[in-house]
Amino acid sequence: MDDLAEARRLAEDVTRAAAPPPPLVLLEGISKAYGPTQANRDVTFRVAPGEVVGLIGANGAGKSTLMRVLTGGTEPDAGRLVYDGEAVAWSQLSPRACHRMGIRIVHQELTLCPNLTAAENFFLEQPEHRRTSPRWLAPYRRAVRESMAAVFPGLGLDPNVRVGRLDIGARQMLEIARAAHDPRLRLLILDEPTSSLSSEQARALHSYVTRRAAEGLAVIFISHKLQEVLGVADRIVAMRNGAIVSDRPRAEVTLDDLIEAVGGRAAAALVQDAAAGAAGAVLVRLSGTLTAPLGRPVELRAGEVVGLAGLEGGGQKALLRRLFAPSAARGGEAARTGRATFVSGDRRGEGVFPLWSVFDNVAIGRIARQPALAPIRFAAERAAAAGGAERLSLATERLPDPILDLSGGNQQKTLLARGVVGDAPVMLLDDPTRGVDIGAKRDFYRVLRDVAQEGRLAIWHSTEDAELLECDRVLVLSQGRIVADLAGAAVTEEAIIGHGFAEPEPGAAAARRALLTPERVFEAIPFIGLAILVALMASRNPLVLSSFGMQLLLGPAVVLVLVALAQMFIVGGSEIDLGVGGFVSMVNVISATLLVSQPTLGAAMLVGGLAGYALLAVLIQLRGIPAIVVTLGASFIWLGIGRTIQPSPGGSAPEWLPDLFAWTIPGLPTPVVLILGAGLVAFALNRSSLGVVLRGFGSAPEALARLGWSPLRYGIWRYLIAGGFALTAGLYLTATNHASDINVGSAYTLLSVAGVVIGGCALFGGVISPLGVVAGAVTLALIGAALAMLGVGTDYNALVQGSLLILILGLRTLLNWRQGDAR
Amino acid sequence: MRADAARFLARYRWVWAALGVLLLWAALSLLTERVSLHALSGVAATAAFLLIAALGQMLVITTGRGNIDLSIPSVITLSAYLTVIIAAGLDTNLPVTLLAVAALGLGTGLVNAALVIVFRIPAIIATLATGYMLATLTLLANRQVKTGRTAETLAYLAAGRLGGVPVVALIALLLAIVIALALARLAYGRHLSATGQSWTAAGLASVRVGTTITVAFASSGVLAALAGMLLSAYSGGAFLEMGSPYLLQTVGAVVLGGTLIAGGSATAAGTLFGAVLLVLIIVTMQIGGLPPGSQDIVQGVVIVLVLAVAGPGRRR
Amino acid sequence: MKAFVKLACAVALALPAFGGLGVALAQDGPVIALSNSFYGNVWRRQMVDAFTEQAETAKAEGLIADFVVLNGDGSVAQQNSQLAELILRGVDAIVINAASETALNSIIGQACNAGIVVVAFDSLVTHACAWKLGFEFLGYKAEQAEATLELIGHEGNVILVRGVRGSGPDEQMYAAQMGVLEQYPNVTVVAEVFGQATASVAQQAIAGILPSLPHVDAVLAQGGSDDYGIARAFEQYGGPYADAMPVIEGGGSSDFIIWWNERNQEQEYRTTSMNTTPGIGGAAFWLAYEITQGAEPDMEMTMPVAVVEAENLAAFAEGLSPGFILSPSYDRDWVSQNLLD
Repeated sequence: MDDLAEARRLAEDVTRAAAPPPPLVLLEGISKAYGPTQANRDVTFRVAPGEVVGLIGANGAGKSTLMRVLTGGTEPDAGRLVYDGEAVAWSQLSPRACHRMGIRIVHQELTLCPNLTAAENFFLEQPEHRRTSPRWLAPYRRAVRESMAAVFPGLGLDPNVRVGRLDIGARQMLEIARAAHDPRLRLLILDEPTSSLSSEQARALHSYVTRRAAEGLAVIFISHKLQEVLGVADRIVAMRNGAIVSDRPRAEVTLDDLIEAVGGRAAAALVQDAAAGAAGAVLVRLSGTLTAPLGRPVELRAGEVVGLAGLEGGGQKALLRRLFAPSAARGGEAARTGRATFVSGDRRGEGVFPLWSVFDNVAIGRIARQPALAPIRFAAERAAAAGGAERLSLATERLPDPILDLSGGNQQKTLLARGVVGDAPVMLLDDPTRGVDIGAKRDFYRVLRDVAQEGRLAIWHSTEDAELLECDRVLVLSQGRIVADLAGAAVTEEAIIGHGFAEPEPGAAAARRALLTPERVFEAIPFIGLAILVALMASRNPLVLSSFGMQLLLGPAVVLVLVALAQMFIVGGSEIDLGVGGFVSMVNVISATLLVSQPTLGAAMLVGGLAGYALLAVLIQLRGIPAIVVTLGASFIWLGIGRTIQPSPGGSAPEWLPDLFAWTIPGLPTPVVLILGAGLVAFALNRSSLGVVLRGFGSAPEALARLGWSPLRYGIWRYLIAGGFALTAGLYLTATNHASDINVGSAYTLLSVAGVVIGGCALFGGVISPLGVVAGAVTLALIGAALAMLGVGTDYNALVQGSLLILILGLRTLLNWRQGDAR
Repeated sequence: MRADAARFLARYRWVWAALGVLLLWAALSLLTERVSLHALSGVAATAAFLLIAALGQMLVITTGRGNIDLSIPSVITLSAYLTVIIAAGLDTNLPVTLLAVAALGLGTGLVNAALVIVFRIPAIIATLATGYMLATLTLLANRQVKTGRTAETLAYLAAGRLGGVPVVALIALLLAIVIALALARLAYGRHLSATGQSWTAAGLASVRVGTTITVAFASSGVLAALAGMLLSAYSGGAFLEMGSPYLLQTVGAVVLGGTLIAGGSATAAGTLFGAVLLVLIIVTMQIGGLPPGSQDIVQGVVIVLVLAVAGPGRRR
Repeated sequence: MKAFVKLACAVALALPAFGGLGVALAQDGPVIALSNSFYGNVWRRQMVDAFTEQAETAKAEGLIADFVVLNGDGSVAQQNSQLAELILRGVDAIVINAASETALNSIIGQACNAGIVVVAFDSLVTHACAWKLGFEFLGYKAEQAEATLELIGHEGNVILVRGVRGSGPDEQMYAAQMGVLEQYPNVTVVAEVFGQATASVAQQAIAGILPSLPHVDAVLAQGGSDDYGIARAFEQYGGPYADAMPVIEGGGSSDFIIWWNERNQEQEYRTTSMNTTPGIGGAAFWLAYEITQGAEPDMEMTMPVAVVEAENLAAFAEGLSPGFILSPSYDRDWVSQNLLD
C-alpha cells in the first residue's frame, strides 16, 4: 500500500479511536444452538457505517451462523438486532427484507445462473428497470459495465457472455459487483471474496472496499487469509467456539496476535517422526503435488489413526474420495494397497439406505463385495452385524427396526458399524461425528482405536479440530496440499489451527486450465449438419434447391420444427415432455373432426387442451410429481382422447384452416416462410425478459425463488408456450394433410427431443437455442429424403435419427467430463 | 393391532394388488355370466406375456434415478420377427432361435446400460432411442418374413394347456418365483436395492453400481425377447407394432404391484398380481363396451393416480 | 386427346415451378414407380411381387427404362415423403396403393401437375386426376356377409374384424357389412377389432378379447389372410369352440382354404371365401405403362374377385401350398383385353 493511503488510514484510525460512531448494525446477546452444538454463545457484534470489520475464526467458530442470523437465514435462540437505531423482529427478517434494508451478502457459493449472461443475471436481481422494447437489456448491460468498472477497474467483463463460460475468478467478481451495485446498499458482507481471485483482482477489491467505506458503506469482511484482513479492515473481530474472543482495532494487533486469538499457535514446528508403535505395513502413500509443501512423501501405516485437518474446503473430502476410488489401488499421487471402506458423515445424502432396517444397513458392508450370484448366509450376516452393533454400543434388539427410526447419532453409528464389518484394511471416514452427541462420539473414538489396533488404517476427516487430538497423527491440508504432518506430541489444537491458516506460496495454486468452449461447438453443429445434408442432396438432384423441391421436402419439416420448439421450452426448464407428440395428434384429430362438424365444441376442446397443458405445470409445481411421470401419463390421456374421437384415420380440414398457413413471400415457398416465422417467434420469446426468467428457472430455481420469482406462475407460462407451439403443429397437420391419424404423433415425441439435442441444447441447465433447434429439426426431417436420394432405403430413417441423437448426447457427456475439472 | 396391520401392508405391498385381483374377479363373476373358468385361462395367458416383460421392467425401475426401459416394445417385436424368420416353423431350429433371441435381448440391454452409465443419458431417452433404432431392424426383418408357420414346441409353450392351465402362465409363474427368490436370497438383491435407494451411498458402500445396473437392463432385454418369442407363437407370426401395448402395460403392472417407482424396492409377487389386475381391468372395460380409446385413457389415469398417491415411497 | 391437352396446359402453367422437370420422359422408355403404403402382410407382399414380376418382364423386353418400388410403414407421412421423392426424381408414372383416401390428395395433385401418370389401385385416392383401378368392395362384401348370416340363421353373436386402418377398402367393406347387419336385428355385434388384413394381428386381437365375450357364432372379416389368424385364435382358445367353430368368412388365403378343407372332412364346416387378388399389382403396372404410351382408358375400372365355395372347395384345396393368397396373375394381354377398350 502506498504511503499516502497509509497516512490516510492512520489519520482515520486516530479519529475513530476518539469518537466511536453509532453502529449501523448491532447484534446483541446472540445465542444459537444446533442440537448438542452451541454455534453462537452470547455474541455481541456491531458494525458502524463507513467501518470495515474483519471477521475471522477457525472451523466451527460460529462465523457462518452469525451471518446467517444477520441476513435472515435463521432465527437465533436468544438475542436482538438493532438496525439503524431501530429494533428488528426476527420474524420480519427474510432475505428479501434484508435486500430492502440494504444488507447484501456475497457467499462463497455462487448464485448466478451459469446459463444466462451477466446482464441477464443483473436483470433477475432488479427487474424494475425493465422496459418492453427489443433493447430492454441495454440498461442492464450498462449496469454490468459500470459496476465492474467501479469495483474492478480495468478488468473488464463482457456483459453478453454466458456466465458459465467465465472462469471462476470472473464469476466471483461479478457476484461481488452485482451486490455492490445495489443503490440501497448500506451493509456489504463479503464471505471469502478473494478465494478465487488473482492478486491483482484482490487488490482492486481491497481498494474498492476502502473507497466505499470512506463514503459511508459498512463492510464485514470474512476471510481465512489473515494477512489480507489486516490489510483492509479497520477493526478485527475473532471468534472461537461460538464466542467472540477478540475485538480490536487494526492498529493494535499483529498477525501472531490474530493466529493466537483464533486458537492457533504460530509457526508450529513440523514433526517428522513416525508415530511410536505403528510398525505396520504401508497402506497409503501420498506424494507428488499433494505433499509438495512438505517436500517429501507421506506414508500411512496399518495400525494408525490419521486425522485430516485444515480449514473447510482445503481439499480433505476430495482426498478421501480420491483414496476410495478404484484408481487409487493402481498408484499415483494418492496410492493405496488393499481394499477400502468409506464412512460418510452426510448420512441422508450418501450413507443411509432409508428403506432398509438397521441390520440391512450394517450387513451391506459385507454383502456389497460378494459376487452377485452368491447366496446370502443369513445366520453369518446376522452374527457379523450383531457383532458390529455391539462394538458400537448399539442395542442389538434394534437391528430389525427401520433405520429412520433411529436418532441421528445412532444412524451414524450404524454407518460406522457397516465400515467395521466390512473388514477392509483401510477405513476412510468423512466427518462421521457431525451432529452426534458426546456419548456417541466417545464410542466412535473407542472403536476407531480398537479397529486400528486390529491392524487397520483409519483416515479420519473432521471439521471439529479438537476431535483430532484422538489421532496418532494429523495431516493438515490447505488448498489441496498437505502443509503439515504432525505426530505424537506435536498434535495439538493450536498447531492444527495454526497450520490451517498458513498460506502456501502464491503460484502453488493449481494452474487454471483454459476453459474449452464446447458450447460453441454444439451451437454450430446443427447449422453445419444442415448445410452438409443439403449440399449432399443437391449434388444428387439439383431440383432440391428449386422452389418446387423445397416445397415438397420442407412441408413435413414444419411440423417437426414446431414440435421441437415446443419441446425446447420445456427442456429449457430442465424437464422433458413425453406427451408432446400425443398432444399434437390429439389436436390433429380434434381439428379434423370436431372443428369441422361442431366448430364451437371443437374450439372449446382445443382451448381446454391448452388449459390441460397448463394444468400439467400446476401438478408439477404444487404436487412435486416429476415432469417425466406427469407428461408420460398425460401422453396416454391425449392419445386416448384422440382415439375415442376417431378410432381410425380419416376426417377433413375445416375450410378456413389451410388459409391460415398459406403465407407466401415472393421467392420463398410457404414451408420455408412458416419455418422461419416459427423460429423468429421462438427466438423473440427466448430473448425477452420472460424467456430469461424461464431459462433462469432451468438452472437455478431456488435462487430465483429466493429473489421473489414465482415458480408456479412461470411454470405455467412455460407449459402454455410449449402447448401453443404444439397446438400450432397439430393444426398445421390438419391443414396440409386434410385428415388426421392419431397414430402419427408418437414418433414426434422422440424426434422433438432429438431435434432439441441436435440443435445444440443441453438437456439440463437451461441452455437452449431456438435457431439451432430449427436447423436441427429441419435436418432430422430431411434425413428420410436424403436417405432415399442416396439410394438407402427409408427403413434406415429411424436408425440414423436415433444414432444422431445418441451421438450428440454422448459427445456432450464426453466434453463435459474433460471440462469438469476446470471448474 | 392397527399399527401392526399398517406395517404389514407397508412392507408387503403386493397384498394390495392381490386384494384388487380378488375383488375384481369376484365382482366380475357375480355381475356377468361371461366370466367362465375357461375365460380365466385366457386372462391368465394374456397376463403371462405381460408378466414376463413386466418382470424385466421391474428390475430396471428398481435401479432408481427414474430409470425405466422404454425399449421393451421394440425388443418384443423384433424378437417375434427373429423367431418367425429363424425358426421358420421347425422345431430343429429352435435352439438357434433361442440363442439369437437371447442375444438380441442381451445386446439391447447392454447398449442401454452403457448409454445410461457411461454416457449419463437419462434412461428414458436412452431406451426410447434404442427402441427407435431397433424399429429399423424390425422394418428390415419385415421384408424377410416368408412363412407364417409356428414351430410345434413353441406353439405348445405359448398356446398349449397343461391340465387346463396355459403353459405360458406356468412359465411366467416360474420366472416370477425364480426372480423373487433371487432378489431375496442372493447378494444381487441387496446390491439392486442399495443402488436403487442411492447410487452415491451404494458406491460408497462398495457396491458395484455399474454392474448392478447393467445386469438389470440386460435381464429386462432378455425377458422382453423371451416374451416376444412366445408371443410370436401365440399370434401365429409377427407384425409391426406388436409390442406397443407393452409400453404402458409393463409400467402399469409394475406400479400397480407395489414396486417403488423411485427405485430401491422390487416385489416380484406384486408385479405378478399387478399384471393380472391390469389385464382384469382391461377385460372389465371390454365387457363394459368401453371403446379402445377410452380404455387407453383409463389406463393412463390409473397409473398416474397410483403414482401420485404412492408418492416418493419413502419417508424423508 | 382432351386429357392430354388439359395435361399439357397444366404443365405449361406450372412450368416456372419445376424448372427442368421436362427431361423426365427418357429416351429408353418410361420409368414406372410403385408406391405401396404398407408392406406388413402376405397380400401386400404378393402384390409387390406381382408388380415386380411384370415390370421385370417389361424391362427385359426393353419396354421400360426402369422401375422403382417404395414400401411405406403404413403412415401417411411416409408415403407423402416417398411421393415427394418420386416427383423430384422425375419418374413417368406412379402406381399407388394409398395409405389414405384423402390425405395424399395434395401431393397427388402436384404429381399430376408435373406430368406424371398416376394410377391408384386397391386402396384408392379421391383426387380427380388419378386413374382408379379398384375392387367392388361394396358389392362383394355385402354378398359374402349375406351368405354368412344365412349360415347362422340370421341370429346370434358376431365379431366384426376390420382391415387396414384408414384405408379406403376398410371403410367400404365396413360400410357394406354394417349395411347388411342393420337388416337383421337378431344379430348382435359383440366386438369390433382391427385385423390389419394380417393373420397374426387378427389372431392376437381375437385371442385377447375372447375371454370377455359371450359365445360367438360368426366372424365377419375382410381378407388378406386375417381369416387364418381368426381360425387359429379360436382353435387356440378351445373350450366351447373346440366342437362348435363359428362361421369365419374366408379371405382367400391358402392356409385358410387348407384348414377349411381339413375341418370340413372331419366334421362338416360351412363358410364362404371371397378375396381381392394381389395380382392387381401386375395389372396396375401394365395399365400405367399403356397410359404412358398413349392409351386412354376410363378413369375408373374394376377388377374381378376370386371366390371359393363349398362346391369348388375340394378342387381348390388339392395340391395347394400354404402361405399365399389365391390370385391369378395379370399380364399385358389381359390388361389390353379387359381394361383398355
